[in-house]
Amino acid sequence: MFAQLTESINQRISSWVSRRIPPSKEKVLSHKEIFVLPTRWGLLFGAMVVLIIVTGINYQNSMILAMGMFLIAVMILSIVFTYKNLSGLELSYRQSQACFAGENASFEFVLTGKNRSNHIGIELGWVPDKFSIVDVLDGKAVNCQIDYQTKARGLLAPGRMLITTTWPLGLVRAWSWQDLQAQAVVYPRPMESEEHWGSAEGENENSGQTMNLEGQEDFSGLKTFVPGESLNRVAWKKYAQTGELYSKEFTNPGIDPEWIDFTAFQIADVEMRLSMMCGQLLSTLDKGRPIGMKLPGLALPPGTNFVHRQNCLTALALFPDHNSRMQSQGIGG
Amino acid sequence: MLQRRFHHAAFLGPQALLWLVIAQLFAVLAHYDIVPVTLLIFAALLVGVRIAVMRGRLNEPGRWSKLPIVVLGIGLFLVVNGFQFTVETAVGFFVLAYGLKMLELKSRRDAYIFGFLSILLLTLGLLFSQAPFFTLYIFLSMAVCLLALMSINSRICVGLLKRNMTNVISMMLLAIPLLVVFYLVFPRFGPLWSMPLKSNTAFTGLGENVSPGDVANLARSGKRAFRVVFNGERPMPWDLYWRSLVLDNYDGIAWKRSFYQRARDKKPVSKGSAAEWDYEIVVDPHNLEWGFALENPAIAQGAAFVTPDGLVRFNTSLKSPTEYRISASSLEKELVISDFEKSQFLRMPRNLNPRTRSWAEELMAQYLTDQQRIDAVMTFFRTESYYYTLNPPLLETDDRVDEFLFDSRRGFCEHYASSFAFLLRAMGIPSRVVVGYQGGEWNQQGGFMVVHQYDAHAWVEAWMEGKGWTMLDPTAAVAPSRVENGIRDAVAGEDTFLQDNPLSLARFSHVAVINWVRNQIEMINYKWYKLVVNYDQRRQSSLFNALFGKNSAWHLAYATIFIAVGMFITIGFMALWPEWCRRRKQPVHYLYERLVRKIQVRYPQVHTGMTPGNLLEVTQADSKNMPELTQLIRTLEQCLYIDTQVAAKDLKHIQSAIKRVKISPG
Repeated sequence: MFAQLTESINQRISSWVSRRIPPSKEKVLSHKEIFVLPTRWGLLFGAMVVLIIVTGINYQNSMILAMGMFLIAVMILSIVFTYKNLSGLELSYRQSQACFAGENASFEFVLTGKNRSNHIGIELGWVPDKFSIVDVLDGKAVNCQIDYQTKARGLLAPGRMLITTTWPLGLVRAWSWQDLQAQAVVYPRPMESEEHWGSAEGENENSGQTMNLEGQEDFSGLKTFVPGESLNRVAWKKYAQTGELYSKEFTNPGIDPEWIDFTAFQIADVEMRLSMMCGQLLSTLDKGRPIGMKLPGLALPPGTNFVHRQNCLTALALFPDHNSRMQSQGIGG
Repeated sequence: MLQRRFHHAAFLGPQALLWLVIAQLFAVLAHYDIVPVTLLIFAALLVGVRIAVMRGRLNEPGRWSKLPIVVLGIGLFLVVNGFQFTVETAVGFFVLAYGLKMLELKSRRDAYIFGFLSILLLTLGLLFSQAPFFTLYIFLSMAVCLLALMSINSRICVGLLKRNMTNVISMMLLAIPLLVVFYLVFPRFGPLWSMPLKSNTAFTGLGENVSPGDVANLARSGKRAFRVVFNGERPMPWDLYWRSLVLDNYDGIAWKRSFYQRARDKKPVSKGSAAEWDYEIVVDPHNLEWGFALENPAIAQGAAFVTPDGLVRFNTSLKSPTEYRISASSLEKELVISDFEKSQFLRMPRNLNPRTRSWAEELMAQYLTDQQRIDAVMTFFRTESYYYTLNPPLLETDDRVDEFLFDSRRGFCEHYASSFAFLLRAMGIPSRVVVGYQGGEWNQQGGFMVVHQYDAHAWVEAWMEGKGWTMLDPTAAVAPSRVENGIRDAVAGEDTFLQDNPLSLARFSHVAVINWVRNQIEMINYKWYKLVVNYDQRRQSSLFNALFGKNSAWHLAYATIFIAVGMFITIGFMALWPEWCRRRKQPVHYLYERLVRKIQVRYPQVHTGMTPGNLLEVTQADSKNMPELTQLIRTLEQCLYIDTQVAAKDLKHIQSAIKRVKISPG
């Protein structure tokens, strides 16, 4: 009964907040979206002020009364100070870092002060995750990275984040809920599998074999590391000696390009299928082999570079909306 | 989503600890005179432990290592204070508990509580003194506490201290006007309930009973007893006999109050006022029930009453500066005395002081009237070699009056008054010793008189047929300068004035600059009490009468509401001012934002960062697009991108157009 009541109250507040603070990519906080309430320290402070005033009255001591008045003034001013600490703060969403499900996706925001204002001890984050604390001084832009614990693959939109501060005295908390339309791609959690893969249509006869290809490639030499190449191929020993990055080259280019096909999997569970595809994609690419991927309505031709890898993972993450979403982002075809 | 609770760092930074320790130092220093030194040292050791833990030299004390420290602290407290329960011991215990809190100061939670306790302890300091400089000290120490609270709530960074200090200072400066308004408006009323804890501070001043040497001891104190403002004429120095206590019972050693006199001192009488002198007195707190007045006073204002003997009394002991106004007259006098009273004022111990008694008999035989006899004794004092000194030889025999009058002949007012009253009684004249203050120092800058403890004096009153009780001062006969110029001149030759206070400014009052400074400080003190500390219900209502006219009970209520509303408007104004500034500087942008907010109701993807072009795309994509809205956006687009200032008329036009736009949620 009580839980139901709080639930419905929460719902109402939630929809009221959505109406009052519509999502937008950037926002200057103003009185329309800032809320202020005392913290428990503020309440304790208030109780202490009452105690002091009663002492002043009972001992008929004017100066104790005056100190009580002073502390009331401090309480009122700390409301104004805390409010002003949040007001005029300009927030904008910059970018996000994709991650695998279960890891932390990191979002980057830019905080600026309008009119060279100071904003100190601003805490940003999504309840109940860890919050980042930022100081914006003299209105200078500050980048702020916030991690978000992901659970499932897909396009993650964490929604309303909490921007809050108790500065200066910690007696009052000012806060605002803002949906800055932050989004991050969450790839499926990679899963090891012994499943066969390959084209279901059998256009590649050779591809029916298992993934057991280790040891068939031979180390042939080193070449300068190109950003985007797999870190697994970096010659770390060489790096330790010379301080420069080289990647190992393997001879065995003769192997046929492989395909990972969504429809080739036997497992009914889509999420698991995607996870397995992800795992196989990664393990193949880590070995430096070209691999292509087929999803319903999408075929990414075999490749080995970083962009290809990203595209494949993104397609897996966005399944089943991969077509429309990726086209809108200019990927694949 | 609407949850606000999240995990806070419970960590307390070293800068916060540093400021908390400084705040503690300030708070404890405010009580340096009432908290025992052992407790102060104990608290300092606890601070040392905390700092050592912070620096990693010691481990965080566990429960079992804290326990003995707590027990040790409480044991120390009991050893020092015993089982007394007074305001002073309570504050001492507070300091102890507060020091022990330092032992477990590790989280933000502890730090907040510690900071609040510092504020509370500082405030309690005002229980013992409300002097202007002390109050200023407390007020400035509050800034340190705020700085400590701010340090708890901020992370270490470059320029942290400067930034926090700037903020604390601006907060303090902004708080002052608020504080003044609140102080003026806050309703004043009597105590809500009686506080169980009483103060036991030893105040300097005259005590319940006057034992030999008491008055001489007071002469060593430069503290202020009370202040007087005369409305109209100022009496001459030799008329300034401030009466406070009548002693009627002599036991051979000291003059005391009999039970009869004690009862009389509690009885109020009403007297008409035929004002000869009209003056106001502010008594410094002395923890007793009496006030001071010239002869024959009538209370014109204040919570005091007058006893049959013309003494000013209060119903409670004075714990804070107290003010009353007197209309004194020397005309009205009681001319009848009952036989019982007469016998009361003639009583003296049998068989003591035979030489004085026989001298009294001689005088009785020699002169016919009481007046002649008194004059003869006064002349005797004046002509014989009596000395006024604060260092008299000790009187050791049983017959002290004899010893003083005929052998040592050196003494101060108390000796003269005591022996003179004895002599009068021996001659059959009813007499009593009166104790109070004589004289006072005129403060030219402030236009008031200060009476110090060293002005304490004792003299005699004798009952004369047809004249009633008459004031007689044998000291004036021995040392006229005591009465005319004060005690400093009277003992100028022997350097005993304020001899226990070598640094007291009063000692150097013959140096013009020092005396000027002393008088200025005294004046600031006086104005402070008069204008600030003693701002009570009466002053409040007279202020409100002056501001809002008569019948001010309602006006007071109105004013309170008015000021409360004013406060909130001020806060709102302070908060919204930057936004209003922007609105004035960029009116078109402001109007554009308003329109965007309206559109957002239907199209949540719209935001203020969008260009009007983007806005049009969104709105026109909708099938139910509104032509007037499109028009409005186009107009705004033009206004936004033209170089010249948009005319006020056009702005008004756009504003009303925006008001007309009605968009329902899609």
